[in-house]
Amino acid sequence: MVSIMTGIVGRDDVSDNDDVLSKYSGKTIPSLVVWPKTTDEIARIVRWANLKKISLLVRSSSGPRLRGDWFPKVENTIILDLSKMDRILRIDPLNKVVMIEPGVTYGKLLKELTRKGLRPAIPFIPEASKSVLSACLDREPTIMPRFHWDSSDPLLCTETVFGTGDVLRTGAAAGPGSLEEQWASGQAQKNPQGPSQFDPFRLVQGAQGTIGIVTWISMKCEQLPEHHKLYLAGSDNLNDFMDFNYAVLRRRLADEHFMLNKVNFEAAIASANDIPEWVLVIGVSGHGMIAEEELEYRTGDIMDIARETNIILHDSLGKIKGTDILTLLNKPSDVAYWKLQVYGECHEIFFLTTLDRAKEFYEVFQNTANTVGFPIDQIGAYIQPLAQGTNTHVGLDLFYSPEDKELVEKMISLSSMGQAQLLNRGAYFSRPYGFIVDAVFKHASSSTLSAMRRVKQIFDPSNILNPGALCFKEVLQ
Amino acid sequence: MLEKNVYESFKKIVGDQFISQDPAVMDTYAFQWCNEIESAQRGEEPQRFGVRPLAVLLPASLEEVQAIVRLCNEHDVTFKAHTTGMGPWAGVSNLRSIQIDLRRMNRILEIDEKNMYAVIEPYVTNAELQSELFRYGLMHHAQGAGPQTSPLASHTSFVGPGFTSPYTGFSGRNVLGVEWVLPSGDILRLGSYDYNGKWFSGDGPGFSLRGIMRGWLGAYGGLGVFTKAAIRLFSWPAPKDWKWKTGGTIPNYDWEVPPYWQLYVLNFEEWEEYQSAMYELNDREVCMVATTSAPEGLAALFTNTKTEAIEAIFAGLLARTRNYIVVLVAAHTRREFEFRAKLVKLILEKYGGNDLIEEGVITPKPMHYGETVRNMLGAHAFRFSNCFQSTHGGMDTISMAVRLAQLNQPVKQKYIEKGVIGDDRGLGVWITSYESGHMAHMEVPTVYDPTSVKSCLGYAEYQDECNKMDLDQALGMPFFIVGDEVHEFYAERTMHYPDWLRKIKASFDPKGLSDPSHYVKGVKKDK
Repeated sequence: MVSIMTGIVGRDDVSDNDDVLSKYSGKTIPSLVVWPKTTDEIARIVRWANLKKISLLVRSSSGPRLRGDWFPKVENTIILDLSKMDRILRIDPLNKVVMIEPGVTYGKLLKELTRKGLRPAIPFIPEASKSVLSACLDREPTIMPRFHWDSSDPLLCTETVFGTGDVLRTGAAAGPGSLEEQWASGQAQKNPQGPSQFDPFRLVQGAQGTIGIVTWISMKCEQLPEHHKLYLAGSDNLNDFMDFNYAVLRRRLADEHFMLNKVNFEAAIASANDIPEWVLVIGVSGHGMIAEEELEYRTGDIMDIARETNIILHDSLGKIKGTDILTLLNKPSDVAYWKLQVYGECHEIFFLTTLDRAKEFYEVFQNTANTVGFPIDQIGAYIQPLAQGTNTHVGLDLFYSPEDKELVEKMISLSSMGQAQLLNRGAYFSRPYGFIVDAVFKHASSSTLSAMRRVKQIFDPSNILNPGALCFKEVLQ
Repeated sequence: MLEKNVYESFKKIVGDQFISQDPAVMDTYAFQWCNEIESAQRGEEPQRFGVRPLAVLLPASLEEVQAIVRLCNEHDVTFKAHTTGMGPWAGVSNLRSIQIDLRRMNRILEIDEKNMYAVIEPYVTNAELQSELFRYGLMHHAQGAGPQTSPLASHTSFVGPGFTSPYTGFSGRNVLGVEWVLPSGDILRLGSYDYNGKWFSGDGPGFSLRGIMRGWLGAYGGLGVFTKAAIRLFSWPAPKDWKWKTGGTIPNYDWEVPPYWQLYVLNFEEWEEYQSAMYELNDREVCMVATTSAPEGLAALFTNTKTEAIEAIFAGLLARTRNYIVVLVAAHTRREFEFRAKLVKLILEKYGGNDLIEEGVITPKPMHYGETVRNMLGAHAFRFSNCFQSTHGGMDTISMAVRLAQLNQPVKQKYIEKGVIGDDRGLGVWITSYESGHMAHMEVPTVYDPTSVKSCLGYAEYQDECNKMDLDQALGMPFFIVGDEVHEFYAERTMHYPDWLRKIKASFDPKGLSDPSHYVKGVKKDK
């Protein structure tokens, strides 16, 4: 196996060293780590793995694993670490799009885009080493719902090596013509749909590496604002923001728009006295000609809505200034990820619902935490409206110290029981990881499972891509 | 013929009243706009009649649709779902086919005002949905085909541009979930609806089965029947106390324009300035509508009769109109309107354009504002002839749309000079942007005479030449690249994508019964 991989990627990019393997190990230790650098190398590896029925698991980010699930689930797995494919292939300011490889991190991307006058749709203070491509493939929520038209945004086109070893550029990138010919004709790989009568990008997105290996993506960006302000409101009741949120989302007036509970606000942003139980964060901007007037009109209309809905927006919260928060929101986390800074470890739970039910689910989870004895003041919450307000991501962060074995046990109980409670009450785990995966697919209809398996059979018939993930439990023979 | 026992079984499902084999009724399904072009492209004599179905059934429920599809599987009968369809893709292609007409499934099932989505059945029309949504201050993305057509069909199964696309996007990207009778008769419910009965997300868990549902073009009914769809809604930009009021009679009816609405026709001498203005207008989110047609098209858009349009043309419209953008600024508040109106003027000045409305070259009446947001303006194109069809149609950037328009002109002019298509000096195009300019597409509406064999053959030849140009110049994949032969024409230079489509078809429709004529035929699965 080593010699075959060496023949494809070169000796320096293959390792079976135990120390290296341990970094990629969960309950199961992989047999090899390979660092391919081109699409062709990946396609050759996938075709060989098909012949030999060897499972492949892709990693692009090097940071901590807070969902506990991105490790081999079967023996004899090869890890494809794509972190060395880290080129920004193209930035097109006119068409507000960037093309990137899997190893490009938010730190690197933000720096380059800023130079070109662009900003990406960015998750809430991501890890510095987080792969942008991985976040897009995982439908990771971003903080500006106004620019989030479809759940798939900001992902546009991809180049994908399917489980068969076949390569397809998805969306308009498929052709006609090579990428260079498309650029010459004025295209910029902006239309993610297709080619033609199917959307393969929707099949690799959210698939947790079970359908294909993506070697580059094009990603939507927005113009960098010249004027940008951040406003904050506080309340002890999440639902106090409800009418304001719905009205602002409907009008598409704000840029950044999300809510944090006190625990997450203090963990991610700053500690201070008198931080309310919930903080609403609203960013407003203007760019281009009469940018300042754009900021004024948007702010004016937002303030009118705030008055009508009894929300008081401030440009600071005590000593914490909106401008400082804005700076934080436009860069990745410090080297030590903010979720790990307080207690050392964090376990993430997240699901989709509608904004009007977020509080209900939060309270259900708190009640379960009380039942299992997990401290409420170690549960962070992040409420992120998506798709211009059509649905909402609810993220719950369980902070704990790995040395506190008793608390680790309680965290495990809470994760298991809490998610089951949420699922039973209608929380939608659209990106299931960890404890909840099997329960989620037990809730699925037989038609859904059958359709997913048929898709899997088409694009990864040998089940070599991340076997054991999602509802694909078949064991490689 | 359909065997008597099979017909009787179908009748048992829907009842006596809702099944027919009357030849006159069958002919209404076979007689379709543009059949003459497709038949010409197949090398046959152009004719508007396609294949007559063996029966038409009008189910009233999901259960009836499922029973029909299962019976089709049992007796090897091909089927095609039909809503408000018009065009060859609406009819059947196989001689042993039935048509499933969904016109009895016409309910708006849910409007979620806060979370901005509606759940609709197949035969809800844009006009009906729009009327219901106004009371909530909401609107949906209505496709350009018009108020009489089905938004479910556009969102689930067909391409979806519309006049309000800069503000409301594209049909296929606004789908939040569907209830879908697969070709096998199994029922598939996408996303959150399958898990908790709520329609707010159509994706996951894991990957999204929307990936096999439609792509950019839609599967044109080649992969089952959609019985419900949840679609995104958008804010209707008018003050809360504004009411929909009309008066007068067609074609000169009146409509109370909301207070913060303003139409502009921004005209630019050269494409370069046009393109820069189009990018900036869209990026700044000031337009509910940003669309372009030919100078002749402008006359058609903002007049009520053919005579008025011709009078406008002879009054100097053609001479003064170059590359223009019809812009509708539609704001919720005075503050928003004043900002947007000011920015439109500044962008116009920046790129050296002029406003044809301000200069009196064309004067939209209040009804034209209404027709813009009701997607009625497309119908105006039929005034100059009783028939047109579009060539090209790639969708990516504004730059590509402009390049397509430029490259198309001499090709179109050649066929105009042959006397086979209508004379718009080769300038007849339709461009619109999507999602605040993140995408755009250009198509070429082209007038032809469906009663003339020469014109039909000429149009078909023009379309073939356009397709070849799109391939050679890497100008994207047009709307009508559907069906096996056309897919194959594109396959080699588009990474052989039809191979994947065929595998999907084979897996989900192993007997090939959901009419494949405008989708693809399956292949046998690998053993």
